[in-house]
Amino acid sequence: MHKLQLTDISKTFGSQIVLCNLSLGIFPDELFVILGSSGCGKTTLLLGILGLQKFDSGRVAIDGIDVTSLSPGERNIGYVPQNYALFPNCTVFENIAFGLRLRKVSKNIIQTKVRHIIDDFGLQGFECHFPYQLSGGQMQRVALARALIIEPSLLLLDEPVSALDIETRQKIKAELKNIQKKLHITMVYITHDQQETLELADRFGILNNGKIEQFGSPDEVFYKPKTLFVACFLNTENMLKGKILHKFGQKLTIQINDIVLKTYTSLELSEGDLVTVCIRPGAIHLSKHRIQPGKNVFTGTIESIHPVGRDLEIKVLVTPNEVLKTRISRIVAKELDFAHGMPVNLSIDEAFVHLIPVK
Amino acid sequence: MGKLYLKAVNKTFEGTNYFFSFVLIAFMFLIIGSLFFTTTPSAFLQQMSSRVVLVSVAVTFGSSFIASLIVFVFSVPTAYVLSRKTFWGKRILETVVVDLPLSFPPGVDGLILLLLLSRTGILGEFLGHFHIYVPYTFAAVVLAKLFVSIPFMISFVREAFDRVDRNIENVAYTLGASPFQIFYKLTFPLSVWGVLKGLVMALSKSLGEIGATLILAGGITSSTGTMSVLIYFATQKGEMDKAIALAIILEFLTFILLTIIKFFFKETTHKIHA
Repeated sequence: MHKLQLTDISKTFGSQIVLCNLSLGIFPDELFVILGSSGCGKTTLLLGILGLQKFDSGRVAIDGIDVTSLSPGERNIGYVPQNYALFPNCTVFENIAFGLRLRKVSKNIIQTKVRHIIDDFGLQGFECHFPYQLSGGQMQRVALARALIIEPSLLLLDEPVSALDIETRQKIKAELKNIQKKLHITMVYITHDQQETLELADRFGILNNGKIEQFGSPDEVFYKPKTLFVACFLNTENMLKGKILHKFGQKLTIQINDIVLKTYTSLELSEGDLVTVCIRPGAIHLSKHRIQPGKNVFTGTIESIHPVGRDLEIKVLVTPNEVLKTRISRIVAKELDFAHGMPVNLSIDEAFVHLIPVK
Repeated sequence: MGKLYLKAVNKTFEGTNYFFSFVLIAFMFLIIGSLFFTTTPSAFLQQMSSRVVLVSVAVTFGSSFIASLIVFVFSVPTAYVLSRKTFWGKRILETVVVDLPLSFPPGVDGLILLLLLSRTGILGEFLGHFHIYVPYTFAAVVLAKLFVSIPFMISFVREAFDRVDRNIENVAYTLGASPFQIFYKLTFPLSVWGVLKGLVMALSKSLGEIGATLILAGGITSSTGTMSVLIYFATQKGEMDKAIALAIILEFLTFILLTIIKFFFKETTHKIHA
């Protein structure tokens, strides 16, 4: 059974359709990331799940129980917003105890539970501090502790690390993952950052035009995008237009301008069909030396070398019309001594060639 | 050459700023301070012991405090609704309740109230059935002050409510708080300084109000003669010592209220929103 089940969710603001018959199931104990660009409806979806905004139609169920008509408090969902929204007039202790006090829990139990979670989150000594006296990372932990102390059915996080510096962000992400595994809590994490998604998600879904365009594990979605939008959104480096020349079982030969590529697919395609060929840089191996002739071995010339983070992006001109992009680490690039205009050999791993049918 | 020219332009610019600022500040000090040099301590004290002056101080303070209290009771819920709710005609309502009264000359406010509350007015006729007659009474003074200060209060309180992060309220909802619990535990405490600032502004506006009070309440020295109205009458009659004594008290009180706003509210607001 799904922990959170969204069925046919729709929401419009005036003439603008924000969510359109969206359905999604989230498993217990998983960290599910909803990835989407700004203005794609992520926050509307989140506010609707929390019960802070009404959907026009559709159903929200937690553990199989319909909570669509319940108030936010009755849904028992923990919420950590982007800016943490700590209560500025309350101390750290009062912030964390807020939910328990509303539930009329006895003072002794509140003391014990809050002390326990303060210890767990490394906030000892800050009990009497006000939010403005805390660092970004500490505020984040208080917001998490405040949401978790009520023992929620699931936890919703809205871009919770976007306001932090890179170092704290990495630390908090690791902590989040640890907390999720330790407490076995279902988390729905909303972000526009694909790096964050790939680092954190057990599964993720891409929200576009009010619908989940594709969902699955990071490997599934990243390496096997089902639509051109997903491939573009996830910055698939090589997207080439091709035509299927031959098909034998699952084996295919594809013509891409002047090159011929061999691969296999489980998709139902026929000879003559047009496809978009997606090749991730990791599937392309570069060498200065001759590679044994075989499947998908080409020669080319290095057109450009650009630094991208810790790697170098190398563009190789394979034919006058076709450029393939690949990435190698700076150390490897230094060892191999690649340079602009240098002739290189490249091979493409057929297992990492993905096809999207052109409709 | 270019650098020298730029330096000369900057010097001239700074010098011009200082000159005009100095002239303006000197002029303001002259106007405000002149009150204190146009009377003597003995003349001031003599006026302060006059019954008419004492009654006008009592009427001004009594009516201003009552008006401010009523303004507080009605403005806080109204400002909360305007800040938090979305409904059809909200903009028109804001214009009618806040913007229009703010931009009306006080004399027009007084005229509207007089027409409404006179024996032939819509409200006056209704109240007449219960033998209640408002114009030219202490209640009229309160009403005039209330009418001119309420838009200020609503405007300040609404701004204070608007400044409270909606995410804070959203989190509280998810933790199980009711709208009332959120209001008294979070929204109101977080905007309390804005509310108090509005209240002090409303009080300050009430203390100095003259136009609407004069038209609706007249200036009966024993019941409706506020300090501002008496200053006007005393000036007309050439009783300058009385006018100056009243003006000094009003000026001093307004100065105190504005100082409270400037220093006390500024520092506390910074601390809450730091």
